[in-house]
Amino acid sequence: MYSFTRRWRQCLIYIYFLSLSLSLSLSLSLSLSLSLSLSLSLRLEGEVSGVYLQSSPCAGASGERDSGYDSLRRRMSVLDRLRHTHPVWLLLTLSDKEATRILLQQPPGVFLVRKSSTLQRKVLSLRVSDDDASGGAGVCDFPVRESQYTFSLEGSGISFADLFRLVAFYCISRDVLPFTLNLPEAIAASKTQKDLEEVAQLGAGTTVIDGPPLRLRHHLGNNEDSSDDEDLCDEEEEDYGVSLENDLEQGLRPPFKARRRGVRVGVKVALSFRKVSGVFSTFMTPERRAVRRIAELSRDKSSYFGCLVQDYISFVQENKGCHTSGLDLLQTLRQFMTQMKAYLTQSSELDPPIESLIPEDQIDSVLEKAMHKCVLKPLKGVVEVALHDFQVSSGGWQQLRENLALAKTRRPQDLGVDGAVPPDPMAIEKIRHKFHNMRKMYSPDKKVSLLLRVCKLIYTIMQDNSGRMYGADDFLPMLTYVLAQCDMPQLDTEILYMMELLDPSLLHGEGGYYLTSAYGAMALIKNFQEEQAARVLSSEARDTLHQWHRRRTAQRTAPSVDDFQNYLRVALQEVNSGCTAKTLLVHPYSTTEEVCSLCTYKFNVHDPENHALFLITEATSQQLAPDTHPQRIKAEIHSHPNSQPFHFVYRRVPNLNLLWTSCQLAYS
Amino acid sequence: FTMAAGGGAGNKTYSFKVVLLGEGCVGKTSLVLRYCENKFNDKHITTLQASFLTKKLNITGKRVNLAIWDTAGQERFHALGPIYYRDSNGAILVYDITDEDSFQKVKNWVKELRKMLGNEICLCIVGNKVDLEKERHVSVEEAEGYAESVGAKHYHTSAKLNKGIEELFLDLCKRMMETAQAEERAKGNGASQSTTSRRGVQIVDDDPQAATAAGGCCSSA
Repeated sequence: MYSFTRRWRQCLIYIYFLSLSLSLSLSLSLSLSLSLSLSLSLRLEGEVSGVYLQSSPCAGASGERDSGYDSLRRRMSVLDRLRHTHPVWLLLTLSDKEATRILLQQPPGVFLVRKSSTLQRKVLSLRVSDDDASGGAGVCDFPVRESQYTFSLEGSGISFADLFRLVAFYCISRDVLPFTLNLPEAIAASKTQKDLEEVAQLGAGTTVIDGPPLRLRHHLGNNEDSSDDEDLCDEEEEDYGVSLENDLEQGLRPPFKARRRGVRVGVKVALSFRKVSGVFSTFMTPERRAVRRIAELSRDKSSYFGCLVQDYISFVQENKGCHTSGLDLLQTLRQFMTQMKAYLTQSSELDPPIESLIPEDQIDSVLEKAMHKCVLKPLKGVVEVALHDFQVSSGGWQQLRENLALAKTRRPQDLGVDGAVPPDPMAIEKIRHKFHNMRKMYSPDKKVSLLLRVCKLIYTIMQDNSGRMYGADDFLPMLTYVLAQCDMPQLDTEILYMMELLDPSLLHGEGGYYLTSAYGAMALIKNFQEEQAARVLSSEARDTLHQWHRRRTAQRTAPSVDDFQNYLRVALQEVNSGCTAKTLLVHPYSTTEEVCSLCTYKFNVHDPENHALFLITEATSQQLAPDTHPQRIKAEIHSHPNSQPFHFVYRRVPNLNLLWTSCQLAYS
Repeated sequence: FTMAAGGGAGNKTYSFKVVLLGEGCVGKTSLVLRYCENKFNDKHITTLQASFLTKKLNITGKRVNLAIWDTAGQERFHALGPIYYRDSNGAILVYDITDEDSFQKVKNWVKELRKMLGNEICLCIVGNKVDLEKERHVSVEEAEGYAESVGAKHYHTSAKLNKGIEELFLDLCKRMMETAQAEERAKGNGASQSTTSRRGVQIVDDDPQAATAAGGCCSSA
């Protein structure tokens, strides 16, 4: 905290300095230090939008030229125009045939961006004259190359942070194209933001295209100022980008906002220059922007996504008791995030579509980051407390503390270290400090990267003293020794948190490996006292194996919207006291067996072996097999056109099922 | 939405996890260091360490990313095996041809792996240190016969002379690819079956579960 405050103070000095001569220092320093693609994209926004529709490069087709003064007053840049009207030209799902049909009705220069099904990538489809290079087809496709952080046209050396910048650039410069792009007339002619929104609303319908569905527009900019400040105060946001292109709406804000915006930009620039690797972090900007938009959407309860997220967060905050263990809690969280990612990729609530901002192979990791921010950040405190409580109530905490204390007294060779030199007390202190920082993070990725830094430090110490490279035979005992020396029982739940919440696709990588090693080392310490450690461990490890396997298979099946309805109402029917119903948290992949054990616990049933879950309709009663999935059954029945009323009932496996009929259920 | 490797069928990338098992001192670490020599990925924080290594290959036009997980071979760490080998597509079980005990250890691992992961994991049994042929204590016939009996392949290597290592990994990759492809086909069939058999209120629906539970490879690009 201290170092952050200090950093913050230094930043303030930069703000004063920068806000004085903001525009000048910005363009100078940026072009000095940033790589080609970035400075280009910045210039697009800074200068091109400063020149504002410079005699309308897109006016070629309409013939009517925009007066420079007019547009200056309006402050409408090409980029702004593109951003507000993407439903007109960004049509990712349009087929080859459809695109050709539409463009052929347009004058040369008119374009679309879409995903080509034949090429399996995005293309810029451009109307060319009939005798042009297209071989008479009239339409040319220029493939878009997506590298790790940038978009560019095939064959061109210039790359851009997102599709909007790419298209804006080609409205002005031809580069690899036969001529510059023309904005459809309605867009070029719009004078105000409102005009543009109307164009966008009508969408494709009037200007260019008839056919594709309109996208719902959401205004996400309401609380952007506050969220910005929050970002800056957020210790985890280390990648302060130079975010001149901050928000899509920004260029259209009323002038009085301009000063404040300037200051904010100043902060970000100052921070990024303070970072040694600032040049690279600046590439994070589109990603950060996308993450922020999703985070905003998640707070907007008028969106479906916002509702799902906010409801879920309240549910977890208010119902800590509904989980059987820390593991269960974390797995539920992980599943929710995975489902929300799937929802975002399928729905059109994100506007502009994420595909226009982020290269395709990065989308998943950006969504993952956004989920951490939307879900894990607000829940970090609650989850931490809950995990600790579970550990205390199970007795695990006490046992761990005792064993840690014991293990700490052991020499490296007692823990299996053979020859390699261990870290000295000073290095241990340094490692403890890193672990403390790790605990402050909510993002499992960032936690893992700090864990990796610890591992790296251990390796460096080992290697410095011998010059050789070490495999697991040497590393694992050393890690065990280090964890014992650090004497931090909290690390146990930290490791669990990372293991369960890390994006499953990262578990095979380096992070997954060292996380596994840390888990293993901690498990050895936990069972240090017991000579039969091996036996205990293998049964425990077997459980984990089972859990992981379940999780992996669960995540593989694509979730549907039904999955969000994670609640199941189950009634307990008792012979003498009638029925009581409870709403339980039941996941789509939960088996009847799992639901039964939840019921045993919730209804406090003492003879679970005599109970089972039944599906009851007016006419029938069916005992569900242990390996069936109640939520799926529910979904199946719901999807049936004339579904009968039905209930899930947990009751004694009877010889007298007649009793049942007398029971009336209040089922909502 | 799929978790599977991205891109069209043509440019698919396989990601495989391979776990390295065997007693301490049989040369697991040198073996894998040899294989990944000079090919360290500088994106990794722990570059130049031998516990976790990656390698990119191109096999018959298909891209393959290998993640190689080393394990600690000492007896006291044996119980941690499962957390390392879970989700593995392949396992390399190394013994020292001059050390009978280390071969016995390999047999124990094979038993455990088959029990825990079934046939979905490709096993390689590797007799290392063939540069010490004169001191051999595990006969070639016995080792190869054993490997065959458990559905594993046997290889002879020398990390010291860089012998047989390239072949070992290439062969393993090919086998893992075959397994992955067979699984994809099976999954494809399973999916179409479950949609066609969809009728009315379906109570038992463990088909897709069973299909995916077969485990698998290439979980991500």
